[in-house]
Amino acid sequence: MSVRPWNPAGAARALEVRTAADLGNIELPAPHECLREIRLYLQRMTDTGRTKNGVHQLSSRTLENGDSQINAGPTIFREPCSNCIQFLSGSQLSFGITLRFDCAKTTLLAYRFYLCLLPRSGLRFVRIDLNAPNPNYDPLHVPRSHMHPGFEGVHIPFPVMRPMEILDRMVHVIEPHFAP
Amino acid sequence: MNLKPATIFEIVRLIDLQPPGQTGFCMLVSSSAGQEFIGDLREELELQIARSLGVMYVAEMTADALVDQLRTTEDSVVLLHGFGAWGDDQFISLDVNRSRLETGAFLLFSVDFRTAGRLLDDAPNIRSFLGPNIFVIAPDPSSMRPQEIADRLNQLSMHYSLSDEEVLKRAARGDLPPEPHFAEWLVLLGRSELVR
Repeated sequence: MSVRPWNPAGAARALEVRTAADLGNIELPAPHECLREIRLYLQRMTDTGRTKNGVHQLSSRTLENGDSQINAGPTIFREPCSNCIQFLSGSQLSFGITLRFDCAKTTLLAYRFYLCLLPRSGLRFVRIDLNAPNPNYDPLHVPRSHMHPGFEGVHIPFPVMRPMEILDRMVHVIEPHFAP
Repeated sequence: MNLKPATIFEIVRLIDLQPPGQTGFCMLVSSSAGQEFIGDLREELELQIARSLGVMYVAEMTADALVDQLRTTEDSVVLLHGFGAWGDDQFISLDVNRSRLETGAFLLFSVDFRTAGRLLDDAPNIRSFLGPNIFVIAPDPSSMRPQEIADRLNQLSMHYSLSDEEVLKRAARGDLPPEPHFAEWLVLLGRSELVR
């Protein structure tokens, strides 16, 4: 039996084309509405006991050109992280979302979601990133949309999603898996 | 007058807690109910509890006309503004007719500081309806203050051993690393146009 010829670099580039197409299909409201959605989501997570806090960790910066940064927790994660979103299990979440807004359309530029897990989880952290647009990168080793399964140097391709979707996966799917 | 600060987010949460069908009373004290404030309140109501906002400008109305109009509105949350033009007799008349205000809607009395004092003095029964729900509108606390921006920039600079100037130069040359932190760095510096 012969193995079909395989071009990993070409396949990685093709994946980036699909990521770019998916990114183009993501419809987002204006950044201030994204902030409102996230704030409400975090409040509901606290109201329902999923998290100990959330709303008060949220902060944003909006520029005159409409571009915005929405953060929860610190920019650089350091343990212990008192200003992260705290789960009852002891896990901690911080995130940052960079949006471009041209008065008509909101575009995702980048995001980072960092879930820090307890040592007994067996995994130190899960991080889901969308890197900023950049013409010069190696899509095979660092795809633009990727996940770090506890290792900074490992970039596993991951579908690009709306930030609220990632947040919800973190809160309702990934974190509970590691909770005692 | 001891006013508690509340954000629009918190005001809408208060409205959400009101039992259905029971009239809610709240006073919002600010210099004016500007279009931006009304727009923000409308958006927050829609997002949080999917309710519409009715807005009534009462400056030219009598107390009777106000309650008549309230009884025909279908909006379950109504912002009343323009009370600055009212005389004491109108507030007294509204207080006498207070039971006609109980339409099941949530009423937001938007007033400036001076008018707030007059309304509370002239309409003691409405004051009792308001109870603790007298707030001064607080700005959105999530907007980063200059110190927070500086702190975050400092975190980035320490972590990557790069200065802001070096990041700007590399961004202009198009050789900035692609990590999300660098897009954030440029937004914090107010130079997001370099993310491209």
